[in-house]
Amino acid sequence: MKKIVLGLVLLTFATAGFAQQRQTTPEITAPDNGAEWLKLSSTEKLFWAIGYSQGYREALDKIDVTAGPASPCASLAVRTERQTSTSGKLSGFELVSGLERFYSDPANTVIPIGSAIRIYLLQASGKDQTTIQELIDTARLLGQQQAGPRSTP
Amino acid sequence: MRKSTLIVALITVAGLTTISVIGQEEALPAVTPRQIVLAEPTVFLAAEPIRELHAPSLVDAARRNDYASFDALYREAKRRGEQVGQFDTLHELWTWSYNDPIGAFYGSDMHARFAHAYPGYTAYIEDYRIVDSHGNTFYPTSETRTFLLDRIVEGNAPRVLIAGQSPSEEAPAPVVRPAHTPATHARTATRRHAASSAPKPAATTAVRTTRTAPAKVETPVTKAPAASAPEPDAIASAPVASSASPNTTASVPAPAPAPVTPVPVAATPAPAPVFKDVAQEAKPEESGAASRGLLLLVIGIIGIGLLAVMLRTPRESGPVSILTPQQPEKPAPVEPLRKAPVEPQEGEKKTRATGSHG
Repeated sequence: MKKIVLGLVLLTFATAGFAQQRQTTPEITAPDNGAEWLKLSSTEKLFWAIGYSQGYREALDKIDVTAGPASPCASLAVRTERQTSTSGKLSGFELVSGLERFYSDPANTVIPIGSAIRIYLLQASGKDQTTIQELIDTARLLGQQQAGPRSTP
Repeated sequence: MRKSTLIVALITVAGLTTISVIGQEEALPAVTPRQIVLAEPTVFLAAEPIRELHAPSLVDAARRNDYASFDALYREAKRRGEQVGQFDTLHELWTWSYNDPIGAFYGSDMHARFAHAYPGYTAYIEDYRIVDSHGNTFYPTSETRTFLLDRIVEGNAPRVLIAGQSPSEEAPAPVVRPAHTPATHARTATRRHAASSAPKPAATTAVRTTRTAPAKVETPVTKAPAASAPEPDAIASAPVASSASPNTTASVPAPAPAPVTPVPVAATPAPAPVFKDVAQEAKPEESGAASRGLLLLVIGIIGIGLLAVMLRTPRESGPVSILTPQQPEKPAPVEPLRKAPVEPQEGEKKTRATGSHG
């Protein structure tokens, strides 16, 4: 009987401790789409943009190292980097400004942030408007599909 | 027996008749024919809420971060001649931000203008400023838009001239110096735009947050209003909302009407560029006076030199110093005549050629 009581007391304390820890643990989630992006402050946006560029470059470098310089993975990485990497092309200020511009259309707020960056880079590189609009429409559909199961509990 | 039965039957019939007569005393309700009114059919669906359709407002569009709608509504309202002057600053800031490559941030110059026009702006934006690795301070446009929108809702939205405006608004800025030639004016406008728009930061990743260097920004902020104080025309702010609060230092009692064009005419751009212009405009006169003075100085020096040459006395041949009496000069030593050098013999030549003495 004593053991059962002791076990119950310990379980109660453990539960309370875990709950308290969950409340006090700091947690910041990276933005997934425009709606979450717009909730950030400008300082957060700027630092996020800088970290995004650096992380992207690090990942591409890792592909080069792991797969070898002449492998298909490396060529894919180079090709992808040319399209979607912001490192060396844009400063953090420019990336934040571009995303602010892109998400100033409320219909774009469902678009995932990675797609938004790609579209913005294509826009900045002078891609024709028809292609850009097609990409935006597709990205909106994808974003709505992603947001659909997330929004329904 | 039969008699009694008859009596009972009579009593029963009489009782029933009485009861029915009493029941008939109360009048039956009047029966009125049912009237079917053929009104316009209205269908109410209880499951679907009835939404009132209302036209989107500028404030709603700004709150929803919808630039396209905001811009369209603003232009439409302007075209109709509605009173939307309180949105001028917000619209200009947002348009500039939309068109500038780094429009999400702006520099100290624009910050000084906002600080001059809005009393609580400096304290508000202090927490959001960003200092880059070159020491340049930047302020976010997004938070500034929120601030401006709140002031508009409050009814306290003075006009602030934003950089990068349309040329029609920026061209008439002759308050400081009316005698602008077109070339100099174009140059000034370009310089003003470059100065007021945020200086483009280098593509560097090192950025410091705001609280690390508080003194760096305060210098231009405090300097600009003080410098522009003696020249009220250079202040580009005027109250637009009729219910402007009295504590706005830059407010002029004239209610800014829908035609906003006079406001930029009366208003000159930011104080800092204006003073820069003044300094540069005053430069030719100063340089002319300086060059004239320099010329006079050179002429004077030349004249003094010539005078000194003319009045110069011939040098005395006497001793230069008393302490060191001049020694009589010795005659130059004459080289004694010597024999002509004899040509060496063959053997001696060979010996010499070897370089040894024996």
